[in-house]
Amino acid sequence: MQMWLVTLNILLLIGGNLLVRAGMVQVQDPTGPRREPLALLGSALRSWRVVAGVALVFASVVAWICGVMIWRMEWSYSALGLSYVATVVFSWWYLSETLTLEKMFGAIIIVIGMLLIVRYSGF
Amino acid sequence: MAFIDYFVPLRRAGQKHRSAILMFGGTLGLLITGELCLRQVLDGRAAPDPALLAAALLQPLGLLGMGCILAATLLWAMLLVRHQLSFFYPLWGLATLALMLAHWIAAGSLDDPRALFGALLVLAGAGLLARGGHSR
Repeated sequence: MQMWLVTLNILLLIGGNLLVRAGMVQVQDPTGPRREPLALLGSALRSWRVVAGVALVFASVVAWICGVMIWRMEWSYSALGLSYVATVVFSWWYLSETLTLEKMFGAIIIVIGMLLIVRYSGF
Repeated sequence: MAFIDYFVPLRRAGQKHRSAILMFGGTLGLLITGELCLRQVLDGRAAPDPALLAAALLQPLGLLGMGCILAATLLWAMLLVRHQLSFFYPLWGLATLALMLAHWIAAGSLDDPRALFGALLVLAGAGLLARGGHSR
Protein backbone atom coordinates (compact mmCIF):
# COMPACT_ATOMS: atom_id res chain seq x y z
CA MET A 1 0.00 0.00 0.00
CA GLN A 2 2.78 2.41 0.98
CA MET A 3 4.62 1.57 -2.23
CA TRP A 4 1.58 2.51 -4.31
CA LEU A 5 1.17 5.77 -2.41
CA VAL A 6 4.81 6.70 -2.99
CA THR A 7 4.50 5.77 -6.67
CA LEU A 8 1.35 7.88 -7.04
CA ASN A 9 3.11 10.74 -5.31
CA ILE A 10 6.02 10.60 -7.73
CA LEU A 11 3.65 10.44 -10.72
CA LEU A 12 1.94 13.58 -9.44
CA LEU A 13 5.37 15.23 -9.09
CA ILE A 14 6.19 14.40 -12.70
CA GLY A 15 2.79 15.64 -13.86
CA GLY A 16 3.13 18.83 -11.84
CA ASN A 17 6.53 19.58 -13.34
CA LEU A 18 5.25 19.01 -16.87
CA LEU A 19 2.30 21.33 -16.20
CA VAL A 20 4.56 24.06 -14.79
CA ARG A 21 6.86 23.92 -17.81
CA ALA A 22 3.97 23.84 -20.28
CA GLY A 23 2.29 26.76 -18.52
CA MET A 24 5.41 28.90 -18.24
CA VAL A 25 6.24 28.44 -21.92
CA GLN A 26 2.73 29.69 -22.75
CA VAL A 27 3.05 32.69 -20.43
CA GLN A 28 6.36 33.82 -21.89
CA ASP A 29 8.12 32.89 -25.12
CA PRO A 30 11.43 31.27 -24.03
CA THR A 31 13.29 33.13 -26.78
CA GLY A 32 11.49 36.43 -26.24
CA PRO A 33 12.73 39.48 -24.28
CA ARG A 34 13.19 39.12 -20.54
CA ARG A 35 10.49 40.53 -18.28
CA GLU A 36 10.63 41.78 -14.74
CA PRO A 37 10.51 38.74 -12.41
CA LEU A 38 7.51 39.98 -10.39
CA ALA A 39 5.55 40.84 -13.53
CA LEU A 40 6.39 37.42 -14.95
CA LEU A 41 5.32 35.71 -11.74
CA GLY A 42 2.06 37.68 -11.73
CA SER A 43 1.30 36.59 -15.30
CA ALA A 44 2.29 33.04 -14.50
CA LEU A 45 -0.07 32.79 -11.54
CA ARG A 46 -2.96 33.67 -13.86
CA SER A 47 -2.33 30.50 -15.84
CA TRP A 48 -4.22 27.45 -14.56
CA ARG A 49 -1.42 25.17 -15.72
CA VAL A 50 1.18 27.00 -13.66
CA VAL A 51 -1.03 27.22 -10.56
CA ALA A 52 -2.02 23.55 -10.79
CA GLY A 53 1.56 22.52 -11.53
CA VAL A 54 3.03 24.54 -8.66
CA ALA A 55 0.39 23.17 -6.28
CA LEU A 56 1.11 19.60 -7.41
CA VAL A 57 4.88 19.97 -7.14
CA PHE A 58 4.64 21.61 -3.70
CA ALA A 59 2.21 19.02 -2.34
CA SER A 60 4.19 16.13 -3.86
CA VAL A 61 7.51 17.30 -2.40
CA VAL A 62 6.01 17.76 1.08
CA ALA A 63 4.19 14.42 0.85
CA TRP A 64 7.38 12.69 -0.36
CA ILE A 65 9.37 14.02 2.59
CA CYS A 66 6.60 12.92 4.99
CA GLY A 67 6.56 9.50 3.30
CA VAL A 68 10.33 9.15 3.69
CA MET A 69 10.17 10.03 7.39
CA ILE A 70 7.15 7.81 8.13
CA TRP A 71 7.91 4.67 6.14
CA ARG A 72 11.68 4.98 5.56
CA MET A 73 11.47 2.92 2.39
CA GLU A 74 14.30 2.79 -0.10
CA TRP A 75 11.61 2.74 -2.81
CA SER A 76 10.95 6.44 -2.06
CA TYR A 77 14.41 7.34 -3.32
CA SER A 78 14.34 4.79 -6.14
CA ALA A 79 11.03 6.19 -7.38
CA LEU A 80 12.38 9.75 -7.18
CA GLY A 81 15.42 8.70 -9.15
CA LEU A 82 13.32 6.96 -11.77
CA SER A 83 11.26 10.15 -12.05
CA TYR A 84 14.39 11.94 -13.31
CA VAL A 85 14.67 9.55 -16.24
CA ALA A 86 10.91 9.44 -16.80
CA THR A 87 10.76 13.24 -16.87
CA VAL A 88 13.45 13.38 -19.57
CA VAL A 89 11.34 11.04 -21.71
CA PHE A 90 7.97 12.69 -20.95
CA SER A 91 9.44 16.15 -21.60
CA TRP A 92 10.52 14.99 -25.03
CA TRP A 93 7.13 13.43 -25.74
CA TYR A 94 4.79 16.04 -24.22
CA LEU A 95 6.81 19.25 -24.34
CA SER A 96 8.92 18.58 -27.47
CA GLU A 97 12.12 19.19 -25.54
CA THR A 98 15.36 17.84 -26.95
CA LEU A 99 16.26 14.26 -26.09
CA THR A 100 19.99 13.63 -26.32
CA LEU A 101 22.17 10.71 -25.29
CA GLU A 102 24.02 12.99 -22.87
CA LYS A 103 20.76 13.88 -21.14
CA MET A 104 19.63 10.27 -20.84
CA PHE A 105 22.98 8.94 -19.66
CA GLY A 106 23.55 11.93 -17.42
CA ALA A 107 20.18 11.36 -15.74
CA ILE A 108 20.80 7.61 -15.40
CA ILE A 109 24.24 8.17 -13.85
CA ILE A 110 22.76 10.72 -11.43
CA VAL A 111 20.09 8.19 -10.40
CA ILE A 112 22.68 5.44 -9.75
CA GLY A 113 24.84 7.87 -7.76
CA MET A 114 21.86 9.05 -5.74
CA LEU A 115 20.83 5.48 -4.87
CA LEU A 116 24.38 4.67 -3.75
CA ILE A 117 24.38 7.77 -1.54
CA VAL A 118 21.05 6.87 0.03
CA ARG A 119 21.99 3.24 0.61
CA TYR A 120 25.46 3.80 2.10
CA SER A 121 25.45 7.24 3.70
CA GLY A 122 22.99 6.42 6.49
CA PHE A 123 20.89 9.58 6.41
CA MET B 1 48.65 25.41 -22.30
CA ALA B 2 48.64 26.53 -18.68
CA PHE B 3 46.69 24.47 -16.18
CA ILE B 4 44.34 27.36 -15.49
CA ASP B 5 43.43 27.51 -19.19
CA TYR B 6 41.49 24.26 -18.85
CA PHE B 7 38.98 26.08 -16.66
CA VAL B 8 38.38 28.93 -19.11
CA PRO B 9 35.48 27.14 -20.89
CA LEU B 10 33.90 26.45 -17.49
CA ARG B 11 34.24 30.08 -16.47
CA ARG B 12 32.85 31.23 -19.80
CA ALA B 13 29.87 28.90 -19.46
CA GLY B 14 29.37 30.09 -15.91
CA GLN B 15 29.28 33.71 -17.01
CA LYS B 16 26.98 32.98 -19.94
CA HIS B 17 24.46 31.02 -17.85
CA ARG B 18 24.88 33.03 -14.66
CA SER B 19 21.21 33.78 -14.08
CA ALA B 20 20.16 30.17 -14.65
CA ILE B 21 22.86 28.90 -12.29
CA LEU B 22 21.80 31.42 -9.62
CA MET B 23 18.11 30.55 -9.98
CA PHE B 24 18.76 26.82 -9.88
CA GLY B 25 21.13 27.23 -6.94
CA GLY B 26 18.45 29.22 -5.13
CA THR B 27 15.84 26.57 -5.88
CA LEU B 28 18.07 23.80 -4.62
CA GLY B 29 19.08 25.77 -1.53
CA LEU B 30 15.46 26.46 -0.61
CA LEU B 31 14.48 22.84 -1.27
CA ILE B 32 17.28 21.53 0.92
CA THR B 33 16.49 24.00 3.70
CA GLY B 34 12.81 23.06 3.52
CA GLU B 35 13.59 19.36 3.61
CA LEU B 36 15.94 19.74 6.56
CA CYS B 37 13.29 21.72 8.48
CA LEU B 38 10.61 19.12 7.78
CA ARG B 39 12.95 16.24 8.66
CA GLN B 40 13.75 17.96 11.96
CA VAL B 41 10.06 18.41 12.74
CA LEU B 42 9.00 14.90 11.69
CA ASP B 43 11.95 12.97 13.14
CA GLY B 44 10.54 10.77 15.88
CA ARG B 45 7.09 12.24 15.47
CA ALA B 46 6.15 11.02 12.01
CA ALA B 47 3.19 8.64 11.97
CA PRO B 48 0.59 7.70 9.35
CA ASP B 49 -2.05 9.53 11.43
CA PRO B 50 -3.14 12.71 9.54
CA ALA B 51 -3.88 14.64 12.75
CA LEU B 52 -0.42 13.95 14.18
CA LEU B 53 1.19 14.78 10.85
CA ALA B 54 -0.71 18.07 10.60
CA ALA B 55 0.22 18.96 14.16
CA ALA B 56 3.90 18.34 13.39
CA LEU B 57 3.81 20.29 10.11
CA LEU B 58 2.03 23.29 11.67
CA GLN B 59 4.82 23.89 14.15
CA PRO B 60 6.94 27.00 13.37
CA LEU B 61 9.80 24.93 11.91
CA GLY B 62 7.33 22.93 9.84
CA LEU B 63 5.74 26.10 8.47
CA LEU B 64 9.20 27.49 7.69
CA GLY B 65 10.05 24.28 5.86
CA MET B 66 6.87 24.36 3.81
CA GLY B 67 7.42 28.06 3.10
CA CYS B 68 10.90 27.32 1.78
CA ILE B 69 9.56 24.53 -0.43
CA LEU B 70 6.83 26.81 -1.79
CA ALA B 71 9.38 29.54 -2.54
CA ALA B 72 11.59 26.93 -4.22
CA THR B 73 8.66 25.81 -6.37
CA LEU B 74 7.94 29.37 -7.49
CA LEU B 75 11.60 30.01 -8.30
CA TRP B 76 11.66 26.67 -10.14
CA ALA B 77 8.69 27.82 -12.22
CA MET B 78 10.54 31.04 -13.13
CA LEU B 79 13.57 29.00 -14.19
CA LEU B 80 11.42 26.84 -16.46
CA VAL B 81 10.42 29.83 -18.61
CA ARG B 82 13.68 29.77 -20.51
CA HIS B 83 15.22 26.43 -19.61
CA GLN B 84 14.28 22.86 -20.28
CA LEU B 85 12.71 20.74 -17.57
CA SER B 86 14.56 17.65 -18.82
CA PHE B 87 17.88 19.44 -18.30
CA PHE B 88 17.39 20.85 -14.81
CA TYR B 89 15.11 18.31 -13.13
CA PRO B 90 17.72 15.49 -13.01
CA LEU B 91 20.05 17.97 -11.34
CA TRP B 92 17.78 17.77 -8.27
CA GLY B 93 20.03 14.77 -7.52
CA LEU B 94 22.56 17.35 -6.35
CA ALA B 95 20.21 17.97 -3.40
CA THR B 96 20.78 14.38 -2.26
CA LEU B 97 24.50 15.04 -2.50
CA ALA B 98 24.17 18.19 -0.39
CA LEU B 99 22.07 16.36 2.21
CA MET B 100 24.71 13.64 2.37
CA LEU B 101 27.40 16.28 3.01
CA ALA B 102 25.24 17.83 5.74
CA HIS B 103 24.86 14.38 7.32
CA TRP B 104 28.62 13.83 7.18
CA ILE B 105 29.28 17.16 8.86
CA ALA B 106 26.68 16.46 11.55
CA ALA B 107 27.85 12.86 12.12
CA GLY B 108 31.52 13.83 11.98
CA SER B 109 32.58 10.79 9.97
CA LEU B 110 32.11 9.03 6.67
CA ASP B 111 29.81 6.01 7.05
CA ASP B 112 30.79 4.13 3.93
CA PRO B 113 33.17 5.00 1.05
CA ARG B 114 30.59 3.69 -1.40
CA ALA B 115 28.51 6.78 -0.62
CA LEU B 116 31.47 8.87 -1.77
CA PHE B 117 31.52 6.91 -5.02
CA GLY B 118 27.81 7.69 -5.36
CA ALA B 119 28.58 11.38 -4.86
CA LEU B 120 31.18 11.24 -7.63
CA LEU B 121 28.66 9.55 -9.92
CA VAL B 122 26.12 12.32 -9.25
CA LEU B 123 28.74 14.92 -10.14
CA ALA B 124 29.73 12.97 -13.25
CA GLY B 125 26.11 12.75 -14.34
CA ALA B 126 25.63 16.46 -13.77
CA GLY B 127 28.77 17.16 -15.78
CA LEU B 128 27.54 14.99 -18.64
CA LEU B 129 24.21 16.82 -18.64
CA ALA B 130 25.93 20.20 -18.61
CA ARG B 131 28.33 19.18 -21.36
CA GLY B 132 25.88 17.91 -23.88
CA GLY B 133 22.31 18.34 -22.69
CA HIS B 134 20.35 21.26 -24.07
CA SER B 135 19.30 23.65 -21.35
CA ARG B 136 17.05 25.83 -23.53
